[in-house]
This record gives sequence, structure tokens and C-alpha cells, in this order.
Amino acid sequence: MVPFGWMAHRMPDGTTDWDLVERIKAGDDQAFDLLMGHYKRPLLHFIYRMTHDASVADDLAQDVFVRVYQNIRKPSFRRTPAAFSSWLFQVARNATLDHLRWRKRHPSESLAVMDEHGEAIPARTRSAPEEAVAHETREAIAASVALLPEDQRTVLLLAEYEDLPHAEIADVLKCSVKSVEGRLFRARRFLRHRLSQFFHESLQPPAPQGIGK
Amino acid sequence: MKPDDQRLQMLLRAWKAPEPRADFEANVWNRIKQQSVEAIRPAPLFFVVREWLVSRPAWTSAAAAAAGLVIGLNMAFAIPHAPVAAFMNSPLLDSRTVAGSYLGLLTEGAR
Repeated sequence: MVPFGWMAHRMPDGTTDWDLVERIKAGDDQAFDLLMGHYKRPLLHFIYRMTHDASVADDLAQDVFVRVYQNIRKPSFRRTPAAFSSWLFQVARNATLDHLRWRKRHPSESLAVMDEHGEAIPARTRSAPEEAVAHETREAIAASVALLPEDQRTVLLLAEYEDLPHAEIADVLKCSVKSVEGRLFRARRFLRHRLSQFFHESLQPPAPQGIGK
Repeated sequence: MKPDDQRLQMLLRAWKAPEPRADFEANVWNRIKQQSVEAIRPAPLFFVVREWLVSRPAWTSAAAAAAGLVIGLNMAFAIPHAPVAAFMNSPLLDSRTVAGSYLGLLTEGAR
């Protein structure tokens, strides 16, 4: 996994995200392509782990970029004092929470969508028993993360998977860094307890194949 | 990071997320074209001003007060005032009319 947070604010040529935003505001659509190319992966991953639905994540991530583009092109748009990534993840979080609220109100419709597009998860390349264990582990992690309160889940996903600095996570959630640290501590404690079984399995060397029985 | 947190991190990273589809950017551009034709074009001045004011509540109040003042002054200067004497000689204020009698009572009371 590519760490994300440390490289979030500067393009290889030294251009910052906010520089690109200024170019988009001025009508440079290529600058938006650059931003999208840089952020589509972390954004999609974040939304996927919030919703645990590949097709919904794809749809929402696209929608977030549309909103971002439309917002930037508004005459009233102004850069925030926070990092661009914080603002972007804030938009993504709001869109995801809207979707999750909608899904709660319309459980049958969202189930149908999940069944129809369930194939969007990446193809499996491992052997069947190994894949079964990996699948079980993934599902257990997803289920455990889903049990976290929304604010702890957001903090955990942004810290553990997107490597966002705590200060940027605080900007996303509009809270203090101390509060982020507290939420992260509680989320990790919960997951350590909840996933203790997999925790031990993951430390053991893989069992040799084809021995016994 | 504590060893426990490191082990948890290793475990959590077993949960992979799907990669963006190859047509991701194209789909976003299609949506932008479909949804935001108005947003791409420069908005009419009224909407620009409205949006600007809505995003600044203090300016909205000040602008409303200024607009009220300008309209009030305009009306005060624009509407011609009838001379008082001409108004008093109006047949509507004759002593035989209700308005005229009332006016007579008021002027007597004032004396």
C-alpha cells in the first residue's frame, strides 16, 4: 500500500493542490485531471471502507469529484486554511454519510444494488483455502470496522489506510487533534479486542500445504 | 507506534479495497458535462451577487439597509408634494363632508 498523507500536498513539479485549484477556477480542466489522478484512489478506498460496497464506492467517488469540480468553479469558492486533502475527505465523508443514511431508510433498494454489482471486488488470484481464510479475515475486519461509531471509523480509516496526519483528520472532522487521538485509541482498542482471534493467526507462519489428512 | 498497534495495522491492511476503474475519469467528466452546464458557464449577475451575499451574512444585512435607504430617499425626492393650501381647498374637505367636519373639530380643538 502506498502511504498517502505525506505526499498529499505537492505534485512532482512542486505544484501544490491549491495551485491546481486556482488553475481549475481559471478554467484549466487539465489541472482537475491531475487532482483527480492523484486523489481518486485514496478517495475510492476511503468510501469503499466506509460503505463496504465496491459499486457504491465507485459511484460516490465519482459524485464527490463532480461536487468538488462544481464547487471550485463557483465564484464564491475560497480555499480553506486547511489542506486540500482535508477538504476533499470532508466532502467525501459528507457524501458517504448521506448515502449511509439513505441506505438505512431504504434497506431493500440498497441490498438489490449490492447483489447486482457484487462482482466489482478485485479478482482473486490465490489458492482456494488461502483465499477462503483471507476472505474470512477481510470480512471480519470489515464487519468490525463497521461496528465502530462513525467518527471513530472515519478517524481509523484516514489514519490507518490513508496515512493522513492527525491534524488533517482533525480538519476533516472539525475537532481537535487530542480528540482525534482519543478516537483512534478507542477504535484500535476495540478492534484489537474484536479481532483478537485473527490477530494471533496473522502472527503465526502459514501452515504448510498438503501435509497430514 | 506501540507493537500492539503495529500488529493491528498489519492485520487491518489485509483488507484491500478495489482499484479505480479505467474509465473513472471519463465517467466523472461525463457527469460534469451532464450536470453542470450552468456551473461551467458564467452565472447571470443576479445569481453571482446573490451567492456572494449569501456567503457573507453581515454584508447581506448591510446591503439590505443600504438598499432600503436608497429606495426611501429616492421615493422622498421623486414623489411631488402637493402644496398644503391647495390641499385644504379641496372639495373633499368642505365642511359639509365627514372629512371636512372632522378637520373642523380638530382645528377648533387646537384653538
